[in-house]
Amino acid sequence: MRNRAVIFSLLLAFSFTLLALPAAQAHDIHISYSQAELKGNDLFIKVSYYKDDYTKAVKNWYQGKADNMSPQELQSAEFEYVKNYFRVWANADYNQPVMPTLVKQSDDGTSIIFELKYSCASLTSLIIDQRVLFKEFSEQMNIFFIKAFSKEDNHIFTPAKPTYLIKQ
Amino acid sequence: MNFVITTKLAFTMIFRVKQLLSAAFVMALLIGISSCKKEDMSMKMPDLFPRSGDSTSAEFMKAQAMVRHLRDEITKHPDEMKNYIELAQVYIQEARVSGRHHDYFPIGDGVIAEVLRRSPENFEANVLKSGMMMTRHDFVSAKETIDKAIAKNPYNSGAYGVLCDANVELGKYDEAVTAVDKMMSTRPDLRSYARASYLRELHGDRTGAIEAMKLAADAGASGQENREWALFNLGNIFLNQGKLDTAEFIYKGILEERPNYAFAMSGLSMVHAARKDYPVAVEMLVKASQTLPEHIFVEQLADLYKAMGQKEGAEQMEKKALDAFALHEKDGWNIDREYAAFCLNHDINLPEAKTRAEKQYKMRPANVDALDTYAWALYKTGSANDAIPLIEQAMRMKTLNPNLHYHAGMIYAKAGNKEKAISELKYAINENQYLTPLTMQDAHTTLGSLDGKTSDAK
Repeated sequence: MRNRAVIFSLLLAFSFTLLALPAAQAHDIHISYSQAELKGNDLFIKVSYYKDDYTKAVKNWYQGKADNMSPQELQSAEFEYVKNYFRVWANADYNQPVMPTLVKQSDDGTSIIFELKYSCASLTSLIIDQRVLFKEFSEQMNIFFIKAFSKEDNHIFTPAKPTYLIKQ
Repeated sequence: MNFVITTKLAFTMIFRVKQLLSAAFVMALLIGISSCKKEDMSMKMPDLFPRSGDSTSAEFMKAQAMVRHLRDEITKHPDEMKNYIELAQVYIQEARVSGRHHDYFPIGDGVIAEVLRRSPENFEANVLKSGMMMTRHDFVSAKETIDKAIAKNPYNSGAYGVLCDANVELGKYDEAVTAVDKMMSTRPDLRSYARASYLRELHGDRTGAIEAMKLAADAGASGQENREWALFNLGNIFLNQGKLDTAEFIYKGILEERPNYAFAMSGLSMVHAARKDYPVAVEMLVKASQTLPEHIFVEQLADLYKAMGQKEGAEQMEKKALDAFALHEKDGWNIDREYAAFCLNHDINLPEAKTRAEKQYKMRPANVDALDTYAWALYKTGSANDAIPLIEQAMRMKTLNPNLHYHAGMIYAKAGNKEKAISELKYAINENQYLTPLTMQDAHTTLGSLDGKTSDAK
């Protein structure tokens, strides 16, 4: 840690031209964060993805068609992508995934953030399957924290472990 | 006859001249290709890579315009060295703010090498070169290079900054103080105050360290990266004292001046980790890593998962951190000490960690971090008694770093020196009741068992 601190302060020695803020395109750390909370029959999920990676994934998913989309269409395509790769099943009913409604979609310049709501009745268990960005980045990790059924838990979704189960 | 002979001779000569010309042409072509290739290998001057989320900011546009302007100037005036120097500085600074060290450092190296090819004694290029050596942790070569540069120009503040850093890393702390004094007398500014602060902290003068770091921050303009870096380090001084509210206030202040400053986010993450609010701590670190791809954030994530008791998550993050170390090593960085420290804290690859820590200790036997890491490696691999003289030497300057005293306490405990173990662990906890996410629990538990009672783990 200290070495690093010194090295960075060392680099100050060369800061004759003071430039700007971070965020690189060739981003070699592929980690997303999401948190979920079950309130009554509604599961609220807030998830944030690194914008460049996410946009690349959406464009790949639409196989070039996304290039001609309007900003509104692209935004809607981004939601469709997360809907397809962030899936929830209630009470082990694999036939019928719970479809999310979009509470809010935002973009802070670095990340794309979705706030999703999954409504289900008489919940006893939840299965969550998250494969967002796995096709693009084999080392992608999607961190997930959840508060549900009076407990707190967490999981890291990876291509090897894309599914998570929490029971009452 | 004579005519025929003459004609034949003439044809023969013409043919030979043609052959020679062809050969010469091929040679020239080969030399040209080879020299072009050499030029291409040694110096590239590309545009800056886009920064996502920031490619339209005034600062980025200014930097990009600077690259284009300097490149034009170099084409027009290839013998004007100051343009190369400024261009190298832009690339190095861009590496710093974008985290793309692996992309920009080779470019910066190429530009510096070009200056030194044309003018081997160029002062600024040698200062930059030694700075790059420092960044890659080649401290011995950096010191040699900067010593030579300073011998030719003893009036440059920036050069004394590099000399100070090299001396710190080599454990020559008195010489580092002398260098920073010269730096201050040449030009008191953010860079010199920041170094003075660090040296005061190392010598146990926390009040002086805080004062100097405040002066460093005040010397920078609001919102500029170097001022925010100074403020981040100021926040860290309070964090290391366990003054979470003050540290949090400073980190949040940084984010008001410079939204999305990744290091401030990581500082806030450590505050939340100390409060055991792990989901928010993880969220802040992920956000930091999305903003700036610095692998220190992955190391910190691994620490948090270990602190949470999430074995599987910790293993996944550890693997990612080790991959990042390998990448740095591939690019020519010496990461032996950092690798060792990370592995020792995570109880992984201990034999290799010990070997690397020993290598670092042998290379710079008076450096506090090298001593501490090797002592910790000996402790972790069952040689606590051998670790004692090393950790005592690491504490010779009365450095207040609570983690150092935590290590000392654990080493003494294992070596059977109960009195010193209790004293060091109490000292560490009194200095910072939270320590680090990884050490907090251990320190309290060990102290509790030594004291014969359960220590209040915070």
